[in-house]
Amino acid sequence: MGYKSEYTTLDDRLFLRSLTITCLEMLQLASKCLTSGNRLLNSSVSNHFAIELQGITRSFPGVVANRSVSLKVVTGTFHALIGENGAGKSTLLNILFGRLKPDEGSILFNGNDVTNELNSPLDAIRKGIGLVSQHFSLIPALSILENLMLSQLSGSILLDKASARAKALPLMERLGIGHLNLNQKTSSLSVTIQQRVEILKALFQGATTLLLDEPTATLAPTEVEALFQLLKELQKDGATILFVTHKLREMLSYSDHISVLRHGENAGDYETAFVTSETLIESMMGSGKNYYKPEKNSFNTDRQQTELLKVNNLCLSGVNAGIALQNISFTVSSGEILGIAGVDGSGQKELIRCLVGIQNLHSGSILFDGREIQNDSVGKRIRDGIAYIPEDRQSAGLVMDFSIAENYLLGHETDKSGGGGYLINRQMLTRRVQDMISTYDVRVGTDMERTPARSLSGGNQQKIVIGRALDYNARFLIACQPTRGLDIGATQSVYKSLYKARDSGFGIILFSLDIDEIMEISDRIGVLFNGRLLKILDRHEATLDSIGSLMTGNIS
Amino acid sequence: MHRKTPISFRPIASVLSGILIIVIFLAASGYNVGSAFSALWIGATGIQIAPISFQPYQLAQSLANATPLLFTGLSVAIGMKAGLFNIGAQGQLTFGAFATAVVGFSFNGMPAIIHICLALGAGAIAGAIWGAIPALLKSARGVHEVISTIMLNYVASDITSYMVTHSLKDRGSQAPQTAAISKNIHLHPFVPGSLLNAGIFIALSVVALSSWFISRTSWGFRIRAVGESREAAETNGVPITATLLLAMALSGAAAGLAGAVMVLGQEHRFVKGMSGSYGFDGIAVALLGGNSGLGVTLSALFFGGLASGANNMQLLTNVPDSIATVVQAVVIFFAGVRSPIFHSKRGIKKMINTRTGQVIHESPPD
Amino acid sequence: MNLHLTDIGSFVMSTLLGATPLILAAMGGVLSEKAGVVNIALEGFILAGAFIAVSAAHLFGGHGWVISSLMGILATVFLGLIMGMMHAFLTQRTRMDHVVSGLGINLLAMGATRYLYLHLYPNGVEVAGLDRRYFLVAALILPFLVQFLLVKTRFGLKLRACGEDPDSAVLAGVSVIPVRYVAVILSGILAALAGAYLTLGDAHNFSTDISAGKGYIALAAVIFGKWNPFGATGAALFFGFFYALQTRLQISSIVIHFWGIDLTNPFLMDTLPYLMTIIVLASFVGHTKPPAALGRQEVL
Repeated sequence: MGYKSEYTTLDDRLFLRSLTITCLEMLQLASKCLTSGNRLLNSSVSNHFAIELQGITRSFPGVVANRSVSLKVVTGTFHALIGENGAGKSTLLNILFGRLKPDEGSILFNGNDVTNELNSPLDAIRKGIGLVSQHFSLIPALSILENLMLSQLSGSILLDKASARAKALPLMERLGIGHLNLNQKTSSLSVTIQQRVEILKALFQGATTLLLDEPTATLAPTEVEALFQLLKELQKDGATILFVTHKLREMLSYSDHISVLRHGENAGDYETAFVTSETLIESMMGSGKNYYKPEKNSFNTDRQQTELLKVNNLCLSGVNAGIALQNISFTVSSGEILGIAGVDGSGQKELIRCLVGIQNLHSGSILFDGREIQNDSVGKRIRDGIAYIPEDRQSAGLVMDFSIAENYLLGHETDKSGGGGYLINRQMLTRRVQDMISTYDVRVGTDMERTPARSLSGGNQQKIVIGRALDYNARFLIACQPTRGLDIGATQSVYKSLYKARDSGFGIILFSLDIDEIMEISDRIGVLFNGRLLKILDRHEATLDSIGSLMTGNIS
Repeated sequence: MHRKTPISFRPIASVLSGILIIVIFLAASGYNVGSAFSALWIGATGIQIAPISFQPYQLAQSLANATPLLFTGLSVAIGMKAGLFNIGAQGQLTFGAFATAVVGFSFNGMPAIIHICLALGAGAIAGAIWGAIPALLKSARGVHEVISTIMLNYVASDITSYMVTHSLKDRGSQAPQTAAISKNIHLHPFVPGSLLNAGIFIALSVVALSSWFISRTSWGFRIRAVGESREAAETNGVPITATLLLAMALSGAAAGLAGAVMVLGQEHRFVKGMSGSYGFDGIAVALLGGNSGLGVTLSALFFGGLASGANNMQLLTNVPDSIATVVQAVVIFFAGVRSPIFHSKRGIKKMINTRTGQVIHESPPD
Repeated sequence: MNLHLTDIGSFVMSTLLGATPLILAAMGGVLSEKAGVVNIALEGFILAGAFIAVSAAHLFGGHGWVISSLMGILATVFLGLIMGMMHAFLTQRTRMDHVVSGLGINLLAMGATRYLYLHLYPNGVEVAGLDRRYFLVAALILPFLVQFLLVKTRFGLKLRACGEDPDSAVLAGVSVIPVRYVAVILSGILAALAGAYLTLGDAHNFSTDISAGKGYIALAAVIFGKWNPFGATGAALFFGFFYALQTRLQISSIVIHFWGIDLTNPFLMDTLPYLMTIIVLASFVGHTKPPAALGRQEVL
C-alpha cells in the first residue's frame, strides 16, 4: 500500500527528496563498484556473501510459502527484500533465523553451508545473525539489562550485571541511546526506543548481519529517516543489513540491492541504482492479469452536515499502562471518512475502546444522533447502529472456529430480522449469509454452514467482518487498520466497501498507522499524539509533511 | 470437516488405552487377567458370554452409576462451552443434594408430583447458586475459576458436614445425615435391589434439552461464542458477565440435579460423604465425550459401566476398584492431548524434528 | 485461658510444621508457574511422593531409620522427577491444557496410590520415619534458594523469560521447552518431598487421602504470594497459622457461638484456609500480575 502512492498520490516534494538521495546513493554506489567491481562481478567466490539462499522451498498445509527462492546478500551491503503482504517474506526471514526449516534448499552464511546446523534462533545468533522483528521481542516485564543478559549466549551460572553493563554502554552510545537507564523495564519504553534496544540486543549478541522485519511500519516519517541514518552508519562500520519491507519508496532511497518476491517466488534482483519504481512495481505485482487498478476515491466534496457522532472532551486516565487520553473532541458527519493518523501507541487503542464501549470514559461524553451513549454497553451500541471493524480480525473480529454463518450472526444474535431472536432462525440466517457472500464476493467452499472462518484467507475473513458490520442496521463505522496484512486486491476491495458505505450515508472513522492509507481515503484527517488529538485538517489542506510532523507532536 | 476426523477417532483410542492400562496393572500385580476381566465385563454389562446369560441387576447398576455422571458430565461440558473449567461440580452436587434433602423432609403431605418438582428445583437452584459464585468472582475480581471452584468444593463439603452434625442432624441416628425424605417422593428402582430409577430419564432429557439450548438459542450461541473467543465475543457486543454467569449457573444446576436425583432415588436423605467423586468424574466424562450431548451420554454410560464393573471385579477377584480412577486419568490424558501428533504422520515427524524445543509453525507466519 | 511461653512456643512450632509441606510444594509451584506452566498437579505430586516415601522406607525398614528414611527420600525425589517430567511432557510436547494435564496426574496419583496401597499393604504400613524438623529446616532455607535461583542466575532469568514471553525468549536464543522441563521437574521433586513430609515426617504411615488438598492450598499460596518465593512462604505460614489455631481450638474445648453457629466446630474451622484463599484472591488478584504467558498454549 506504500507503493501505491508512487503512482497515485505521492507527494511531490518527498519524491524530489528521495530522488536527490537516490542520485547521491548512485554516485556512492558507482564509486564502490569501481573500487570493488572485481569482487562484485566475481560472484562465484561465495564467501563474499553474508547470506546465500539456494532454492529454498517451504510449504504449509495448503500453501507453498516459498518456492525455490534464492537470495544473495553481499557482505557489508544494505539489501532490501520487498514484496506484497503474503509474498513469503516472513517465511523466508523465519527460515533465515532458524525458526522454520525449509523443505528443500540450502542456506549459506559467509560461504559455509549451515542448512543442517540451523535448528533454532540460537544457532542463527551464534552465526552472527541478528533479528529486529516487527513485533518487538523484548520481554516487557524484564529490565533492559535483563533482556540483554537473556540474549547472552554463554556465561557463568551466575548473572554478571557489571560486565554486561560495561559491554552494553559503548554500543548504546553508538546507537544514540546512551542516556537510557538499563534497569528500567522495557514495557515503559516508547516504540522508537524499543526498536533501538532491539538493535542493541542484536549487536550485543555479536550480530554482524542484521535482519529487519518491516521496521518502519510503526514509525513516524522523521523517525524513519533517523533509523535509516543509523543503519547507514552501522553499515559503514561493516554490518550487513537485510531489510524486509513492502514499502518501496524507502528502499529506493536507501538500499544497495533490491530483491523482489512475488507469490513465494523470486521476481527479480536489482541494483538499486539502476532500477525504476515502475520496474519494481511490476515485479512485485506481476504484469497484466494481477495488476489491480486502484479504486478511485471521489472525495466527498459537498458534505451535508448531518452530525452523526460527536465526542466532547473525552478523558481517560492511563489504564493498565495505557496512554491517557486528554480532552479529545471531534465530530463525524454522515457521508464522510475521518482518518485518524498517529504513531503506534499514541492513544488509538484507548480511544477505540472508548468509542466501541469496552472501556468506560472518566469524563466527557459521546453523542450518537444527539443522544449520549457513553454509558451504553458494546451490544447496545451495535444494536443502535455503530459497527466496528477491529484491528485484529483473527482474535477480536472473528471466532475462528465458528462457521461463516455463526460469525455473521455474532453481535446480532438477538436481531429477529437477521436470523436471531431467542431462537436462531437458521433458514433466514442462511439466506442472509448467501446474500452477503455474493455481495462481498467472499470466496468460500461449498459448505458455509460448517466451513470455519479459520480456513479462509485473510482477505475473505476481512470481507466477512466488513459484511457483518455494514449489512445490519449500522449507520456509523469504526474501522481500525482494515487492510492490515492484506494483499493489494483485498485492500482495494476493502476501500471499495468503505467508499460505498460512505456514499450511502455512513459516518466512518478510520484509524490507521499507514499514513499513505490515511491520505488515500480520508475526507478529513486528525492526528493523535500522546493521547491528544492535535488537529483535524481537511484533506485538501493536508500534506504528507504536515501530517508527518504532527505525528511527532510538532504543532507549528 | 477436517475437525471431525480426530474427534471420532480419539475417544476410541482413549477407551482402548484405558483398557490396556487395566491389563497392565492386573498383569503386573499378578492377578488372573482373564477372570478379572470377565468380572469387569459382567459387572458393566450384565452379559455373561459362556455360558450365555443376562444379569439385569448388573446392567441396572451400571445405568444407575451413569445417572449422576450424565448430570456432572453435562455440568462440566456446559462450563467448557463457555470456556470455563468447572472443577466445582463436586461442591455444586453436594449442595444440590443437601437442598433436595431439606425440601424432601420439610414439606410432607403435598401432592407427590409437586413435591418432587420442588425437591428437584431446590437441588438445581442450590447447585446454580454454588456454581454462579465462581463466575461472579471471575468477572468481578478476576479470580481464576479453577482455584475458586476447588476451594468451594471443600467449603461445600465442610458446611454440609457441619449441618448434618448439628442443626439438621437426623435425631433418630448417630450417623451424620439428615432426616429421611418423605416416602411419597422416592424414585423407585426399576430392577429390584438395584439403584436404577426414573432419574436416568430425567438425566437424559436434561442432557437433550441442554444440547438444544446450547446449539439453537441465542443465549446458547452467546455461551459458545464466549467460550471460543472471549475477545471476539466482547468486541462484538456479547455481554460477557451475564453470559458467564448464565453458563455457570446452568452448569451448577446440572450438578445440583445430580445430587437431587441421588437423594430422591438412592440415599433418600443427605448423608455426609454421599457425593463420592461424581463431580470430579464428570470432568473425565466431559473430556471423553468431547462436550457434545451425545458424547457426554455415551461416555457417562462408559464410566458408569466401568465403575460398576470395577466394583464387581473387586467383589469377585479382590482387585482394588480404584483401578477405575487410573483408567479415568488415562482417558483424560488421551482426550486432552491437543498436539498434532495424533492427527497426521507429518505431526509425528515434527515431534521428532523438534529436538531444540520448538514446535514448528502450523501455518505460515503473518 | 492462660497463655504460657511454652504455649506460644508450641503454637509457633505447630504453625511452622503446618506450613512446612505447603512451603515445599509452593516453592515447586513458584518455579513451575514462573516458567509459565500452571501446576494443579502439585496435589498429585504430593500424594505420589507420600506413598513412594513410605513404601521405600518400609522396604528398607530393616536397616535402621537412617537408611530407611534416606531411601524413602531418594525414591521420592526420583518419583517427583518422573512425574514432573510427565506434566512437562504433556503440557509442552503434546500441548495439553495445563489444568487438564494436572487433573489427569492428580487422578492417576489418586487411583494408583490407592490401588497399590490396597494391593501391597492390605493391613496398613508403618515406618520409623524422619524427624519433622529436618523438613522444617529445609522448608525455611528453600525460599532463599529459589529466590537466588530466579534472580541471580542465568537459568533463573531464562526461566522467568519463558513465563513472561516464550516467543521473545526463543528469539533471544533461549530453548523454552528444556527450560520449562527443568522448572516443572524441580516442582515435581519439591512437591513430592512435601508428600514425604506428610508420611515420613508426620504420620509415619499412609492413608489414601493424606494429601487432603494441600497441593491446591499450596498453589493458592503461590498466587496469594504474587508468584514470589517469599510471598508464597508468607502465605503458607498464614495458612499454617490457621491449621495451628484450628488444632488448638479443638483441644481447648472453647466454644464460640455466633448467631447460633458454633464457630469452633472442626468442620467450620476447616473451611478457613479455603475461604481465606478465595477472599484473598478476590481482594488481591486484581492488583497482581501473573507471569504473562502462564498457561498459554502457544505454538512456539
